Amino acid sequence: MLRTCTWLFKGFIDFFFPPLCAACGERLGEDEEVVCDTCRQSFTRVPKPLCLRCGAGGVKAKQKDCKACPEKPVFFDLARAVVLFRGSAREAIHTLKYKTRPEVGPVLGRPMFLYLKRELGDETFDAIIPVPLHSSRERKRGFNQAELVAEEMARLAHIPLIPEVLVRIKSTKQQTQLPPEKRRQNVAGAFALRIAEPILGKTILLIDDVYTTGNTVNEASRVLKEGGASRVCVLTFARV
Amino acid sequence: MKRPAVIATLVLIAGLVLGRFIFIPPVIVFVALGIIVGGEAWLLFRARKSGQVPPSGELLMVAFLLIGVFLQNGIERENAHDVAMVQAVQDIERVELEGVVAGEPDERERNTRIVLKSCRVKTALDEEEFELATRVLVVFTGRAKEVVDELVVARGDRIRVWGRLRQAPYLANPTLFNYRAFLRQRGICGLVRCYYPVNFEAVSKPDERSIVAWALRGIFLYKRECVALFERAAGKETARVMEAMTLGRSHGLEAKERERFVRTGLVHLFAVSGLHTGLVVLLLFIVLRLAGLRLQASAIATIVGVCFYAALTGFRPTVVRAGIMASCFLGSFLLKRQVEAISTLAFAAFWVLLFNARAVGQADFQLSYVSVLSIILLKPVLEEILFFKQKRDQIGVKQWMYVGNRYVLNPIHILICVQLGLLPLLAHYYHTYSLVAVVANLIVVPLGFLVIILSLLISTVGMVAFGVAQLLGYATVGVVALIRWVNDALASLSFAALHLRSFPWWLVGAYYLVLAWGSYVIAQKGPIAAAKRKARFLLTLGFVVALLVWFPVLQYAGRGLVVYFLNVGQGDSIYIEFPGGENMLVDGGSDFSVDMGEFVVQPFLRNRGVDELSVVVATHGDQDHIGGLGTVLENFFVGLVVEGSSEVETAKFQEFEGTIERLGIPRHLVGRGDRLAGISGVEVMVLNPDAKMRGHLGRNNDSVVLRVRYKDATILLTGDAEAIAERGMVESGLELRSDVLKAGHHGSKSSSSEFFLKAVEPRIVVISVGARNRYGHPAAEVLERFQAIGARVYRTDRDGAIVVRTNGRRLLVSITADQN
Repeated sequence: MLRTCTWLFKGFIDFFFPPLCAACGERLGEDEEVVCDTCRQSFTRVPKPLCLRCGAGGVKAKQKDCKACPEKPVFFDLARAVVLFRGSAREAIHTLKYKTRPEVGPVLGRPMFLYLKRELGDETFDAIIPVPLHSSRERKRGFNQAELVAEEMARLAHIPLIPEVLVRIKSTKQQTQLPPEKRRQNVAGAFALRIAEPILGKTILLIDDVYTTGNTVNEASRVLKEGGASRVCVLTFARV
Repeated sequence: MKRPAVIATLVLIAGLVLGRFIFIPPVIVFVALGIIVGGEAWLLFRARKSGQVPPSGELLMVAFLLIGVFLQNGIERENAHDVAMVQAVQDIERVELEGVVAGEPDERERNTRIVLKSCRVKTALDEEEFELATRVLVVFTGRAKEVVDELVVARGDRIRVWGRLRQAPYLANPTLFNYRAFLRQRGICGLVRCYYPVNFEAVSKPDERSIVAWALRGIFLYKRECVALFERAAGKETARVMEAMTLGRSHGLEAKERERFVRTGLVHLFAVSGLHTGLVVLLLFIVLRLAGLRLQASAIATIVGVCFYAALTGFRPTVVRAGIMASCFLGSFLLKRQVEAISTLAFAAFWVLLFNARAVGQADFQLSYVSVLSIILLKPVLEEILFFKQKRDQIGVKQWMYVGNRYVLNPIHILICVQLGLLPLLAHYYHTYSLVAVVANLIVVPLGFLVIILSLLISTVGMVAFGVAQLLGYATVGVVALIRWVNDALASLSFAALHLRSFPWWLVGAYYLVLAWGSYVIAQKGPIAAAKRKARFLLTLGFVVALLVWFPVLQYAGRGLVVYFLNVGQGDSIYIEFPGGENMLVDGGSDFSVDMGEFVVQPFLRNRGVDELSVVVATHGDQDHIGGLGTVLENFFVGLVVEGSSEVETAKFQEFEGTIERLGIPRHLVGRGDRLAGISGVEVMVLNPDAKMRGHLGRNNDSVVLRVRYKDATILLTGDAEAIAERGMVESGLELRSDVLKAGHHGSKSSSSEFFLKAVEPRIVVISVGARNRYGHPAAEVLERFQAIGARVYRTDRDGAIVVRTNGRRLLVSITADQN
């Protein structure tokens, strides 16, 4: 009886407000969730070979000074992204961030977990930290998209999530809108440690949704390293 | 289907419109619905069994179309049946009416209105009994009002009333408010007035009420309590505005002030709208969140609160719309399902129409939904062209720009969207299009919000600590005064508003097409060549310019001669538009109780966009001819007043002369054989009075009689001229033959003598007469005379205002009143 009622109610809701794909806006099929299969398949992996440090794709094998790396010094030990920030991946992230659909977060977290197992399987992480948002922006958006992604990963990978460690103390402009020379300056001093104890001598996995110039995660890594973390790896869902 | 809710609603509306023109027998509808629903269920079941994708419901759309037609057919049938029934009994002084209270009583200053449904009518004479499908409005006045207010009837109560059941009276005039149609759109076909407490009784006992009825009655009493608090805290004047803004009592404004608020586009503040509901929802949600409730709990509690607020305002369509939309958004948090604004809007419309199909024709429904629709559709487009959006995150954008964007630019965008989207509707319902609406709303809406917040505070705090409420009340008085002051300042600007006529249907279509196409062109994304984009933009611009140019041309040009015999009850008022652009008003009659100049002539002229009158003719000094002319002289630029006699015989005429004098309007005394100068292409000949006999034959026979000739078409306007004057005109040898004759003296037997009619030979006769007038006009023998010469007779009491158009050869007569 209850099952029939829920089924009817779901049918009613589905009729008037059909579930739509977060990336392309098409109607989702019965077994699809949030992002449709077509869009998921159109996500493009970052092409190998990668820059061993920043994870930029299509770098010639022996090139040492990768142009995509952030300005020296680089504080993180390695950075990786699952897909390229274009097409449906871009749309999905935009939907998550600007159209306020938190349910997209876990959808991105899952492929990141699979990537972690596959590509970074020999690393062991002591803790996961999402890149924080400034409190004013988080309040406006209602959530931190990096944290949503990180939550799902932490759940799947059984790694403790410690979002309380890092805070953003400066409200910064979006990196994409700045000329390269100003980017570093823009995020300088944006982060601070609230408590250093949980990261002392630990290997940290830093999570964000998009890797654009690397300056943001670099600055966050600097703070973590200075706070005593022994190793900081960065994993984002997408990169430019 | 990505947005089935939108399609379902459009289909339902299409069905409702279609239902006006076609009739599908209910049996066929039910069989078809059965097949469709059965088929759909079978498809669903099969899909569920085999795990396939379920059907997305295209078939159901056909069902909605059928439902729409069925509902509309039902409405038409009910209307026709009940109007016939009411007409059959409307001459009986006293019938017994028993019905169920359909909504909460609408308590006004002078009367209380209660709508009854499922009415059973018993005529006292022969105990004949019948039922009405539509509703009846009962107006309680005087002692009856006091008693019924004390009783506090609740929804669902049965009451019995004795009185005359009739259709709502109204004066049918083009573009003017039609009370009968207004009520009918709300499903009300009959009206009963009740003056004495002995003429009604409550049939059902209080303990028969349902829980819902008790709850609604409780809400109603709470509302009354609020009103009393408002009045105590802020005084009666301010309290009325507060009531209108927060509780949806719409009678808070007097006509003149209302007009000023229409001029500034602010009148929406005085009906509880979606804006108010949105504010209430937001406040409630924030308060609950601050109180420490979790997101889900706050969402559910807010939905409950919205339902309460909707009940408080008597389930007005706008509030229901905003309430459903807000609930959808809050529900989307709970169900983690993205909902688009347009789908929630459609969802709201769908259910409102399904339960009350008549709403589709109602002004507040249309205004409410179209304004929200235009915000949803046009705002993104407007943001593309008017600053920001792309610039939002760019370098060099300072903090103040964010703030400016959010609190100034954003509202401006919204206001422009609403103004664009509502243009045809505002032209139709208000005949006024405010040019200062954006500015006025920007200033006054925040003040309005302040009033609402203060009212809410007063209504809650005042129950516990009246002293605080009193202080808040003083603040409210100040804010309301400020609103009035700002509004008056803006309304007095000469360019504050345009007067627009209703758009013909094709122009409405063209307007929305251009709007849609323009939005499409501007909003187009993706790789389009710049040249192509530019070309499309220019094309749109061309469309808009063409529309702007052709609009006045088509509305005002090539109209020939148009004569409006206005319906002013027992009296004359004839407005003529000449092909050359001049115009003339002949009389502006009134009875003694109502100034028809104020209530009919002036709004009619305003709605036609008239500011100047080339000539005003006062045929003679009787109240029913010049009673309303004073108002006209005061409010319009009048070039010349034409009179037939200067002898002051009536008080009204003296007053009228005084007004002319005071305003310094040139005055012209005319006599037989004169011609009115300055009218191009049309000859206006004066046939009466005879200058030599002026003052000797009585007032009526000194009436100015005019013969208007445009090419081959002729119209004779006779004022109150009687047989003596008629003989004089015939004997004068002047050309009298006319196509249209306005019968002298409202069809009295003292005028329209046989020899006069023989000289005039009218094909069309217009009698300007009030329904059930005490003089017995028009006289039966006069009607017989008209019949004898084979003239077609039009009467303002039956046909409403009568409009005669001519291109100089053919005559086209149209009437204004409904046929039933």
